[in-house]
Amino acid sequence: MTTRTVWCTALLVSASLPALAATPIHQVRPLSAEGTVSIDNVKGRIVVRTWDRAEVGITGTLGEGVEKLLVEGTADDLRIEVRNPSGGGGWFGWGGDGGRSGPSVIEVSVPARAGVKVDSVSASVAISGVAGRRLSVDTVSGNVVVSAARPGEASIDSVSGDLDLDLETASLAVDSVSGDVRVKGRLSGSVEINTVSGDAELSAGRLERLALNSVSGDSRVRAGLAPGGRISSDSVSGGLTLTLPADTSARLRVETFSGGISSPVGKVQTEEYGPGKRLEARLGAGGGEIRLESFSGDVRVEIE
Amino acid sequence: MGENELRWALRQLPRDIEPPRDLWPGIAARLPATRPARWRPGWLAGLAMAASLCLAVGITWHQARPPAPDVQAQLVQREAQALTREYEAALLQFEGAPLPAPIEPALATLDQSAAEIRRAMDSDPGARFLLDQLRRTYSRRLSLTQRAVTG
Amino acid sequence: MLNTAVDIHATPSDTDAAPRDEDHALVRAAGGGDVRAFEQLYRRHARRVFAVLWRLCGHEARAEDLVQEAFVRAWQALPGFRFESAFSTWLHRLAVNTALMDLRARRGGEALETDDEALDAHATPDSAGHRTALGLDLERAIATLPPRARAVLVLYDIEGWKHEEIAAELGMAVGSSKAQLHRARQLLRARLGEDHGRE
Repeated sequence: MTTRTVWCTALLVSASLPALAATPIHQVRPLSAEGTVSIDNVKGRIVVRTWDRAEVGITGTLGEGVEKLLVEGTADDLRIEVRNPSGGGGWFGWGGDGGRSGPSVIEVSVPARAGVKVDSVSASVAISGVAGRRLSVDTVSGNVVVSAARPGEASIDSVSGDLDLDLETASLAVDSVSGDVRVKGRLSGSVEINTVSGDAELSAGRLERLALNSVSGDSRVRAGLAPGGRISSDSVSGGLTLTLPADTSARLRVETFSGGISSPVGKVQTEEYGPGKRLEARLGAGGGEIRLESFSGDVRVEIE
Repeated sequence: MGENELRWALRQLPRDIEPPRDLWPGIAARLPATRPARWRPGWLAGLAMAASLCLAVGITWHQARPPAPDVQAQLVQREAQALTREYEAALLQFEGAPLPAPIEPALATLDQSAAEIRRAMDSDPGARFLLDQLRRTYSRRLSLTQRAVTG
Repeated sequence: MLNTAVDIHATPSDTDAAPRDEDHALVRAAGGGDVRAFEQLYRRHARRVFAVLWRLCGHEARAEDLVQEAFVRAWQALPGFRFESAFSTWLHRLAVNTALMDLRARRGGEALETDDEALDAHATPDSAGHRTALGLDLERAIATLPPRARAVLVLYDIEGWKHEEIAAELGMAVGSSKAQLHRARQLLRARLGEDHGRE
């Protein structure tokens, strides 16, 4: 083999080794204490942590074929984007056909009170410690894990990615199509969970407002009502199990067309106008309101 | 022969039958004339509007005195039909657009769910919450399609 | 010469994941204008489509035109295909719809429905093929049925549709579908009884 051939061969070999092909990242930018950081990565991984500095630190590796890492904006509003050659992050860079770029790992350290906005397609997302005014995550198939976070409000949207959320907030909105949702933590105020076929599990404190919506996903909820609070749930074929604290004070109303109703209080009655069952009961002083509706899903109420 | 024998014999008939000649050339000759080969991204401007979801439910009523069940059923059904028409018109805007393969299971789930809700509405025509479910599912299906198409 | 396929095809619900995924990949390509991909779809599904249309319209030559018509319509409608169902199911419904529309349009020309002409149409060696004597009798007998009764019988007893679906497609009440089916079966049994004497 000639020297040139060896050299060419070496190049070909090196192109397939991730360590040499992926571009390492190391960038730092100033960010005001309550500034907002947006992170956009289609494929790979996004990690967000907090630290004690008025800066955003970005490390990680860019996947092979990625056009560049875009970092732009002001100290109040910083934008980080993994840009793919086909123009923008975009969904066409996703999946087998057109997924020319390799996965990128983006690790971002932000000031604890920064607002955080994460956009992923298939990149998995891990967020911890954020305590800014707002946390928002949008994913398609990437799974999302949020831990030890205390944002003022949080909004997590998924299509098929699973969501594992452990956070403290007074305003939480979770939307999923087929991804499963697990939520726990010091939750108060308002929680809304919408799924289509994904299952949902919620463990919360005393809520002013809980709204659960599912088509065919099953839900298991353990939550209490703040005084005068309201829990509402509707489902088509998904089942619901709601576990309430012993001192719950609320008017309970359960309605289903063809599902089953199980409750330690009240009596299941059949509808006057054709098929359907309902149950009405008063828990404690009857201060709050619990309204559970389903088409064919079973509804089960338990009191601890 | 008896009826059961007949029904069994019918079920045994072959479901595949080779046509007497190759029909493809006749089909191929008629294809290019029937629609544009490529979906043109130039229509994007209109799409944003289409999927911005004027899928607002028209009925508002005050809980104090809900309408009689049959009246409610009529109202809900009428709304559902209007909603479905609007949704299908909006979805039509995306006809011909290539969609990334990984999004198909989600679109399928949403389509199946919309069908499930509509079936449920057939059984329980007065259920207002099913109407809300339908609107939400259509809304989701449209915005997902729009995102997939516009990248 | 021609082969007559005698394999009994699984119902769409029996189709496993892999062929369905292949179909979906072809549908996506064809929906974007790829004629070669559409030809692959044609090759995969033409025999099934031909079988149901041939029986529905009881006349072989017209069935060929209808198969072509159905595929051209499928090409036009392909971008609107919703991936919730199997392509074969969607295509099947579209093809049946095409045939029934044609049937409605031909209401005036019911001459085919007299026994003799229908039987002549099936005297070709092709359709004789490799089927059992009973199978041949049965196919011929089905072709002699009045068109509406025949459509209901083919869709119910051979294609496995439900009365609700048949009624919706033919624009009749569910009760009428059941009545037509009953009539079709009675007629078939009577004609098969006669046929046995002939063989």
